[in-house]
Amino acid sequence: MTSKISFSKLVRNELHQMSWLASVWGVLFVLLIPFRVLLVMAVEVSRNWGDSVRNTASVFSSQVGLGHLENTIFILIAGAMCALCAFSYVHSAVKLDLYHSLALGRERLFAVRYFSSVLAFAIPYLVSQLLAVLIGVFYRVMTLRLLFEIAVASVQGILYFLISYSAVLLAVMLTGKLLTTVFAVGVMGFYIPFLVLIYTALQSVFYDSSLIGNYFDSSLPEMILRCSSPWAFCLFQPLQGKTMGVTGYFPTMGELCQLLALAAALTVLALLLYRLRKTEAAGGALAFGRTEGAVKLFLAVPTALAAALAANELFDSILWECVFILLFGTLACVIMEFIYRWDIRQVLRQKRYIAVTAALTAVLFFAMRFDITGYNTYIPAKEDVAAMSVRDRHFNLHYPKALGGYTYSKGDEKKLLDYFETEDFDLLYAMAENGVEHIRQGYGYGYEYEDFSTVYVEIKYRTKSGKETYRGYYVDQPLFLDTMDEMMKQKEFKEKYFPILTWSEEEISAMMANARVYALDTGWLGDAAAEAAGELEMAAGSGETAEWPEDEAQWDEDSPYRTEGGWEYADSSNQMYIDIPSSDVKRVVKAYCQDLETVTWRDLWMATDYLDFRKDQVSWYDDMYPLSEAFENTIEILKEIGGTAGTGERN
Amino acid sequence: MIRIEEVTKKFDGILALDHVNAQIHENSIFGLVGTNGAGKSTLLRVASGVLRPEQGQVLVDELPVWENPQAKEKICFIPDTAWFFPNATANVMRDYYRIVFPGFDQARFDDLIAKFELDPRRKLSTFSKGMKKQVSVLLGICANTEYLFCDETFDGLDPVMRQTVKSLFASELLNRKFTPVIASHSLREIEDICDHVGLLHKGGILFARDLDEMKLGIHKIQCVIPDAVLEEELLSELEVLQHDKRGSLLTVIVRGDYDEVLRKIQEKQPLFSEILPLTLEEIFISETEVAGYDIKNLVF
Repeated sequence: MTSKISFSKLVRNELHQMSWLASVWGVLFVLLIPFRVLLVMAVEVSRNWGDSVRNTASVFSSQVGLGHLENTIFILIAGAMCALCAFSYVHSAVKLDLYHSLALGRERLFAVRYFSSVLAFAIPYLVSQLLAVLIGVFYRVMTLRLLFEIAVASVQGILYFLISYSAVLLAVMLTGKLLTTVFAVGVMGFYIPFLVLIYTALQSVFYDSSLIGNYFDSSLPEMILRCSSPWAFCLFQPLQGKTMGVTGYFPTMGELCQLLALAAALTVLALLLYRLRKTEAAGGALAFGRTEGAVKLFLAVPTALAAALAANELFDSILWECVFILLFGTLACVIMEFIYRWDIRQVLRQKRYIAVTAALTAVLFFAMRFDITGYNTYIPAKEDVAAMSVRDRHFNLHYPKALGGYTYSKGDEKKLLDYFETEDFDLLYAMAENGVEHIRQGYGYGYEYEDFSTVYVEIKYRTKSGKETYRGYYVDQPLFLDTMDEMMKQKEFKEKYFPILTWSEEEISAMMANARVYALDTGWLGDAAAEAAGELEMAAGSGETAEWPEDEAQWDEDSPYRTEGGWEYADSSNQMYIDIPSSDVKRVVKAYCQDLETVTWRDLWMATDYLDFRKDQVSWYDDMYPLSEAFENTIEILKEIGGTAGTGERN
Repeated sequence: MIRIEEVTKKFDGILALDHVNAQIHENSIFGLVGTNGAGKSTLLRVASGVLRPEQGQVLVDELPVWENPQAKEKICFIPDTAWFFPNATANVMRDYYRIVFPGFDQARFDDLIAKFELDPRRKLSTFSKGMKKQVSVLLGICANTEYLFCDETFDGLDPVMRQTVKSLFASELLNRKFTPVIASHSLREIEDICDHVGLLHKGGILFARDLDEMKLGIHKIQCVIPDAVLEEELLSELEVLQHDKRGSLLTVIVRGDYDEVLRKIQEKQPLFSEILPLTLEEIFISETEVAGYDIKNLVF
């Protein structure tokens, strides 16, 4: 069943038909790539004439090489436009009369349109990249490595194009007209983030013991964001948007293969739908009529859930929640019905979908609202638990070096709880039971936040079957402190909480350290240090050290407070630094470890002063260890060093 | 030969073709007639592989047409509303047809386009409806396919052009293996060129027959028989499909052998009698009435 029609002649003809599209991209890409590169290079050379070629090469690479966000966005738009132009014929009955009556199988017709429109993009894009290379040669910055980087960037760019192209193609195949294609692209782009946001918001509001709820903010985990749509998959590539340059990041073959696999999967799916779709679907809202109801429910239910959540936040009334579910569920169905039928008189034709939407939304919403599943009070049976861990949020853990980059910040709490796991969990289980009891009594997260009779703790259960559960509870403060004091007696527990105890001699020797002191008025530092601190405070108050640097680069390079938010912070926080000379670091660490043998959790709790350790000047994060009056040996040494307090300079 | 077997097609639950069966023989002109919405265009689209029937199949020279390039390469479909590329000229469309129809006769197209006085370099979007129709017919004829499906081809053409196109069809039929299938809502348009006709009504084909055969078996007689009793006798002896009496002039459409009918009339000693040629319209009205369909007011 082969066709006698020449594939290459057809592609050439289609390309000829799309020459206007290729011309448009040609002009835009020339402006976007070589023209912009020319401008940037001219500016760079005029600014740094006589400077190193390496810097100019880096600037050049950042414009044409990998990770240029603007180029990526533009390529994604090009992909979408090309797909719409090449396959809009499937939405037109008169065009299909011609194309589908030809002696061409649908696969072949698909391939012809696909290749010709990809060429309509690839030719101007690659020519623009080539022109950029010539500009690089002209400025004598081109090296083999840079050429390779541009080649890889071009391949990556084409893969981005194919992903965007195939995704829009999928939307074209699922729909019957341009308007619904545009909606479908929007849904494909934003549906998953919207769902995750709704679910996270519901958890945050109704699941008091949920960790996600407690840390809820509008940002989504990068992994979910990246996988939420084909376009996000391109935009949130690892290190996307950061300077990669000649010495920077190259995508691995695996990452390129991921892109290729995604493009291929989307293309195959689009082709499959093209084979299945009926010619007469052209002009209708959706190509597959049977999906109409499902699409409606998939969109209307989350919309109604969001509305119910808004009603909960605004009125905290079941009646209003029901009204909002019905109102917005109906509205969503009506809008979609209008898009389907394009006839205002028929918007209420399918009332059953309104009823199903309202019912389904109500079930989901009130199941979470009244915790039908018992999520909040869940605690596995003790005999089923294999390990547990606890984290006290008030205890400011900050050991990025020790914990592989984890900090106490949002999103890392689960990783920390994984790290703190212990199999000796009897005391922790008892504390968790106390927490669950508080939940039963209505003490959820944020409830009577100022009540200091309880402490908020994060708990992890790992059952023998491997199920991991993360929860947050309020527990009685005395019980908590007693439990933690007991846990501190366990060597394994303590070493996990204080990785400094496991540092090797070599690690310690490489460290730079400061003491960061907030408690200036406690006097435990001794007179000399307090005096020096007072001078610093006065200087900051008089504006001598608080002056904003004229040059941003100078601020970045020279500010001793840069990791803490800059000069303003120093102004307002009443803090000071005690520089620990490198010769004393070992001594301080030793003293600190010695103190850790005797201090209790009560001594550590709510400590506001810290010892900072870092490996080099440019590290963004410090390892911060709590410091309080109980650390007598450490304080003795700091008193000795105290004379240098206030300079803020790293030694 | 094209065989249409039990073809059923629905659009959103509406039955457009209902178990249609028909055969279209080679080297004849097949007229597909029917009311608006009878399913003519749908049948042509199914036959040309544009639409997939829910049931049944169309075979072109025993090859199923759906998604079969081997069968489809024998067909060229000229739809009611032909689509041309944006900004295309007749030459651009010619070049495209050359690719998609390997047997396309460029020389003949150039010759015909000149004879039709159409500017091949002028944008088709500036052409009138009739001129566009002419271009699409010329493209279809020059595609040199064995079967040419024309949907309302004569719609929009002026009388001269209609005759020219009919002549073109006749000429093609003489010179090569060529079977045009012409769908039209107007019987008058196609009765002078069709060899076979198929009547579609409400998605079903009422019949498909050879036009001459139909004409041989049905006769229209006008006569004046002075004796009323003899007149009644005549009507009872003949297989009357339709009769009408105005004054003393009796008009009857009857089925039967020509000589036999003539003999029976002469036996009644008419003052005047003659057998008149039947139009396609009259044949259809008679046939459909016999078939139980009162479509007089619909078709004509």
